[in-house]
Amino acid sequence: MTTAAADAPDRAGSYLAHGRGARSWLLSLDHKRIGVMYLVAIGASLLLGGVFALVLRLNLWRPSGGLVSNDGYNRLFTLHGAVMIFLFVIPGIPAALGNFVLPLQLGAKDVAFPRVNLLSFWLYALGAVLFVATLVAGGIDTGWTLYPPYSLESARGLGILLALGALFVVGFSSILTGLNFIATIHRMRPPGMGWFDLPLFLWALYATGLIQVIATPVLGITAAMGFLERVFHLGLFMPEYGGDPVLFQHFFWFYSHPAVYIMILPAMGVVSEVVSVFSRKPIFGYRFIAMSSIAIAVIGFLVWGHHMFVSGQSRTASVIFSGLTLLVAIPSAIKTFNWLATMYKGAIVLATPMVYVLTFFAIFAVGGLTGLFLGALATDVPLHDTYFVVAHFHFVMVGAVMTAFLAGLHYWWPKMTGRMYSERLGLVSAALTFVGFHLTFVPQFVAGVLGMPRRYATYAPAFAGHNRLSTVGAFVLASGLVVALYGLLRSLRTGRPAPANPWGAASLEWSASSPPPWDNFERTPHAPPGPYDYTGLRHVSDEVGWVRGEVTP
Amino acid sequence: MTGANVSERSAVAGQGGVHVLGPRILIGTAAALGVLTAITVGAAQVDLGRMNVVIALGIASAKATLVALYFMHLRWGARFHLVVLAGAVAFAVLLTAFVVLDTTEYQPDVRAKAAAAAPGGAPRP
Amino acid sequence: MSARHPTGAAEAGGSGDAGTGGAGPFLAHHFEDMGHQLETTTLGIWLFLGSEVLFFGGLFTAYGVYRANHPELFRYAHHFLDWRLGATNTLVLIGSSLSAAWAVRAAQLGRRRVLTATLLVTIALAVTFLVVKYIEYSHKLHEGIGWGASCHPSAEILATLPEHARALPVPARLGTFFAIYYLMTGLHGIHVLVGIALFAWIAARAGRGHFGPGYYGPVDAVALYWHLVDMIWIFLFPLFYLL
Repeated sequence: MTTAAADAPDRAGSYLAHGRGARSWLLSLDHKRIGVMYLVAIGASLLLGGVFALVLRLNLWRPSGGLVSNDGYNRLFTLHGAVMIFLFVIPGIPAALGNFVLPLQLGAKDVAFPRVNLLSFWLYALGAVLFVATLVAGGIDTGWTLYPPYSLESARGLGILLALGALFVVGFSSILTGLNFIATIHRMRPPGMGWFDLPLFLWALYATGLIQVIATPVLGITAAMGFLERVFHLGLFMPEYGGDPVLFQHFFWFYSHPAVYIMILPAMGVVSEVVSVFSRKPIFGYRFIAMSSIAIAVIGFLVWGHHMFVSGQSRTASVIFSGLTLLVAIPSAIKTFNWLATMYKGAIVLATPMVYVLTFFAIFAVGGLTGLFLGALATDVPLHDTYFVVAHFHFVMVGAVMTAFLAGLHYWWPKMTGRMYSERLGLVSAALTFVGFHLTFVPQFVAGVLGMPRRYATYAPAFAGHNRLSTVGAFVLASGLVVALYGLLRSLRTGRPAPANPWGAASLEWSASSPPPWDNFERTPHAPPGPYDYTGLRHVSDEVGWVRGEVTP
Repeated sequence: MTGANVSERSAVAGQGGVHVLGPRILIGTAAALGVLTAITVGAAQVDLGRMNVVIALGIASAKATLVALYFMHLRWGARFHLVVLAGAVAFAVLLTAFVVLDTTEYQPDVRAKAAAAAPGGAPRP
Repeated sequence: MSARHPTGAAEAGGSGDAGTGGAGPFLAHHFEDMGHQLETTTLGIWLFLGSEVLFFGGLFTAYGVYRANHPELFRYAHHFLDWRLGATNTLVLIGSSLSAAWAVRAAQLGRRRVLTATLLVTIALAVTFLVVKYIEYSHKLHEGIGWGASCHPSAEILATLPEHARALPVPARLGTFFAIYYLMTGLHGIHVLVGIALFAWIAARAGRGHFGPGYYGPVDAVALYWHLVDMIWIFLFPLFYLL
């Protein structure tokens, strides 16, 4: 069964054709279909959040604003943040790509709990509806961080209740996904695949799952407490009822800091996969990368107070948090050097996923390093609430995470759809994204250091140049995303049919056909020699792709 | 039962090697929990100052440990289950400890500001 | 030596449909055999319980913060709670954990009647817990003890406090104590209610003969959830009623 004909995609037998009609998708227990539904929903959230961003940037063209009212501006940046963070960056790679790839990389037929997986998706959808519904209820203008006392005052209207409900629901979705992935990785590995034979994408998803299960419940209880505070005036967070608003911040950031590692760890997992395959070299320092994922997950829980240096937090706590924050750079640096060492003396293939990954390195380095300025107590105080912070987190969330998302999307696109995307369009999108991204956010670092505050609809005229560059950049970045979307969608109709293994990768998902059949593998395959062991893999042709060993006629 | 690979697992399941709690362990654990409940109620009647909290939490922790080890058969189950429970408790304790540390550390700032704002004196508890 | 192993899948008692260990009507397609399915679902429920610990952990933190800053408030306010009702509920939940663990044993050994009986006992005790809670709550609310700003204890209930407490003025922040009290015991109560529903579902399935030595995962999972609910109360009882 290794002839060229058998390797050609059999769309009629794939998961795409297994069952037709809306119900077979919306109620599907197939992790691949759930992954695709997530991809569509997450893509829509990215577009929605992106539109908000473009309106914000247009308003910031003029120092006096004026495109939208100042209140409208506040509502826009609040929803931009909430939608992007909770509906795109946090679920993005695990839900859209992880759901599809994880069982395949394990040679499994599905995740451990398929019904829980479907529930996760519908909770996400409900949460998305609730966030968007806040627009109808008059909107929220508190920033995505929803700090009381402002957010819980009665004058705010009921939008805050919808937002808190959305947080609770989306949080639950995230917990269930993490739980599912952890259980699957523990209990559904194939014969021969021990822990240190796992592809690094799975180590990343595992570490992410640990954070999701441990951190997210605290977000849930915080949302519940905020909700009850607003409705029943319990007196937990509102000083006028005897509460302490700093308490909210502690609870909020206990989740929201580890949440950024929920965002970056899967991105790093994608990078590990792509950098090895497209350097045609085994990953350097496999164990270090694997263990550093766990280290990031654990250390990430110890640093949340660095968001609260100017909130009234005690000096004792601030000093402790600042010191611990500097520690988290270490495992990230370990990964970065290992990736670079992987490329060293490798046979680099500049396909779209690899180009995105190369841009990831440049951007993540800057994003990570600028985090040190914010983690160090003394330098954070003047930089807090300036555009320096905005630029820092966009560097890591957009420049690193979104870039890795696009890398992974292009990398696994042939597997998911059975089509090759156009390399030309992919490379154009990567270039536009890279240029647009820097044009957008580098001026923001400068403006922030010069003192421009964040979350303001208007600003001092001295910052006009920075803001205009940034606005132009935002549209270039948006065009890059549009080109990427266009290229991918176009491939669905006119893309070359993809072979099972178009890239010559060694992990198990590439032994299934592109796209895979409904139940992935007829029999549980044995683990490959190694997830990054390319010996014996040869490229036969573009149609047949890469195969291992002899091809029998 | 920590093996996740198919071949190891089937062998274990086939033997029916699963731990069943016997009546003595079940009733014994319940009885111990009842006794500890009586002790904690008794200890609370005596005023030992700050030690009351320590003793009560200590007894509660002992009770919870009995429930986890025996009723939830952690003693005979997969080690990772224990890691999950202990890890979750550890992070919950971390959250509580840091937040309580911080809040007690900044109370003087709160009181100072309140005193400055209301020259009549600090607010009542 | 109280542990026993079932002698073998096929011989372990006439439990009807689910006697076999390898496959069966309840084996999901993505698992190799029932043993695999059981291991995995048990891990799944433990992970969920881990998340529940953190969920309640936030509330224990709120308790810790307010107690650390206002210890005299807590020492005063706990007298409003009747420790005898609290202790009763503690024993009720311990009993229900015993019956839940016994139910798992019965399922593992294929003893259908014992399984049904222990499940019903668990439900009955859980309902008892909620009845006692209802009595406590309604009494307090009737006497004006709400939460936050709505906490105005009536003269009647103030008269029931011990002497040293009666001598003190009612603290202005009494509502904060009760906010935390209602929040924590209320959330716990909701978990008890969910537990009752889950046990009812399990009891219905047990009545249809679904469970036996080859398939008892759902019984075990619900029982594990229930034990966590018990563990949380084990901490709530002293923190509110005794200290």
